[in-house]
Amino acid sequence: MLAKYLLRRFAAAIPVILGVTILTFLVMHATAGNYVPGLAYNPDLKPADIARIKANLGLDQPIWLQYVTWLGGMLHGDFGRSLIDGSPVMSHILERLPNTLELTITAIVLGVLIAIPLGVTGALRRGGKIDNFFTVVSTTGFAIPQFWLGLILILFFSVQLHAWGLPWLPSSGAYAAFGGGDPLDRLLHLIMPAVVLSFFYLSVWSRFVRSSMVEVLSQDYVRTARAKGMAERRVVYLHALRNAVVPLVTLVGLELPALVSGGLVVEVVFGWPGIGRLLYERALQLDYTTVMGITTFAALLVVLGNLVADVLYALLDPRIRYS
Amino acid sequence: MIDETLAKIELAPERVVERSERPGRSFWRESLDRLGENKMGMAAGGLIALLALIAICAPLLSALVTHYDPARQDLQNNFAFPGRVHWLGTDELGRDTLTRLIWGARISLGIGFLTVAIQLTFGAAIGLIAGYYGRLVDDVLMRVVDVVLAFPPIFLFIGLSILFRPSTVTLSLIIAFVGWGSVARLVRGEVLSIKNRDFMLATRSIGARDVRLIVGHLLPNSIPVMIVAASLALGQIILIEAALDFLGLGIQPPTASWGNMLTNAQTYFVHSVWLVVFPGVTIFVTVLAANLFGNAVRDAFDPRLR
Repeated sequence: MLAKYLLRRFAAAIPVILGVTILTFLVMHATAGNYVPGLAYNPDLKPADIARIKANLGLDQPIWLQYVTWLGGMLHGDFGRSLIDGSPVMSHILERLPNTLELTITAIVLGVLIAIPLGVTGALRRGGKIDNFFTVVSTTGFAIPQFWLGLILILFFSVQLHAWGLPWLPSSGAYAAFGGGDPLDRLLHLIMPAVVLSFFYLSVWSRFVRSSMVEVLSQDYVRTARAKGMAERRVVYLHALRNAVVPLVTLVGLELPALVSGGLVVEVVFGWPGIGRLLYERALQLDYTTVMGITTFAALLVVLGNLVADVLYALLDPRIRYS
Repeated sequence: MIDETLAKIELAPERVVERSERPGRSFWRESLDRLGENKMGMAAGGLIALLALIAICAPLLSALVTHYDPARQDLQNNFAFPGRVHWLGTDELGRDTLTRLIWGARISLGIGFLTVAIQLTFGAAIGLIAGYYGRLVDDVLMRVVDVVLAFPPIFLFIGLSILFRPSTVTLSLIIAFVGWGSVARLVRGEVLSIKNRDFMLATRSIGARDVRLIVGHLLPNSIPVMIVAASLALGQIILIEAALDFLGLGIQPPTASWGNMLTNAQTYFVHSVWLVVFPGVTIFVTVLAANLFGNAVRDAFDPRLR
């Protein structure tokens, strides 16, 4: 049964992978299909030479064969080359990926760690002042533009504190250009981008924890626990919280694709050298192949991530296999 | 089978009696009443309506109230502090911030509403077809949705916006290109739950064709979820559009938009705070109002919350 489910799930992912790659390939073919970097700048090249170079690169092949070759390259981790300098896209991705993960993972962990106490407190003091205040905070988090929040934080914590002669936070980059790079320096650079990014997550998740906690607290087993004289503290944190937080795991899991792409705007505002900013910079230079290579890479990660998540759920929860 | 049908017919008079005990209130009347009772939601909706009115009347307002043209430069009065002459100050070229905000509302709200319309129309059409015909049609269309939703939205927006010169219409199409997928999924789910109800069987049995079943019955019945999806999407679309403008990939200067006003402000905000404060607050308040109104609409209309 499990094997059959897994097989079906894998089979369903294949058309999506093909669809994603065909779409990006067509876009790339339409924009940069015949372009070879530097070719136009060399006046010494004869048409025959150009034809030979293109033949070497496989550009004279029929389009479906080019697609298959390109797809085959991706199986080996080759996501094409930059339109501008011919450098392999994968090397850029690998160079930037750790920075992006550092930022997004910090933000997600911060988001979860703050969302749970906020949500629980809100649920326990339902309708009270604290609950209303938390509601305002999370409503704000839904509506505030991330890039603007970033600018305001820079204005206060970098510019204004600096002007007042107080300790201030660096506004840009992942580490200081000169003499930086030690853990403390990196941490200081991480604070503001991570706070901005986690603000959105904690807004969503704290609402979720709150409503889930409210629901759990009205369950019979909570009443039973209280009725048998268990301390309120134990009831809330031992029995209710555990069950209220489990669904949050699913919600956080849904954000996993954002590990690569979620921080783009924040990366740009704070000059964070991550994948998002790489894509953005290359987009401004109209480097179609790099943009599409990164996009394909991220989309494939999403498909694989969903696949892994489904498989894990199926292993953990036998009910899923039969539905 | 026939016995069952007869039993249902016999039950019918009782149901009529039941219903007549409650005054004849349609789903719409009931939902609108519920929406009307939500004070905060109505206030937020009123604010959106007011902003829409301001956007429509922008030429009138800038001519009669602020007396400035959004693109007119006044280099002797650049970086003017907010005051009596320029209520919200001026930017690096001496352009009036308030006037530009008023004209920017046309961009933000225009793209917001246009995008909602596009993604709703297209998404609903695909969702209805996929849900109604099922089988292979459903499989193919839903795999297409999977493909579109597999791309990280922001990557797709950026990729598409360097391919097509961004204008109000192309930007709406780009944002709707991602949004239709979730609408299609939502409508399809609704169709699947309606498809096998008795009234559908009854309509089919009197010889109704596919088009009539889809347009006449499935579409009206999935309109509540579509309204909910539309009202919750507006705020998000305005945020995305502002972010794209800010990144320089959306509406291009000199056309004023809330997002691209902040791009410039970034350079000068150390000495001219108002340049970054006012557009940001405007976006924030608009999105906040759209979200609050969206929540109120969801609470009033969502059939699943009944």
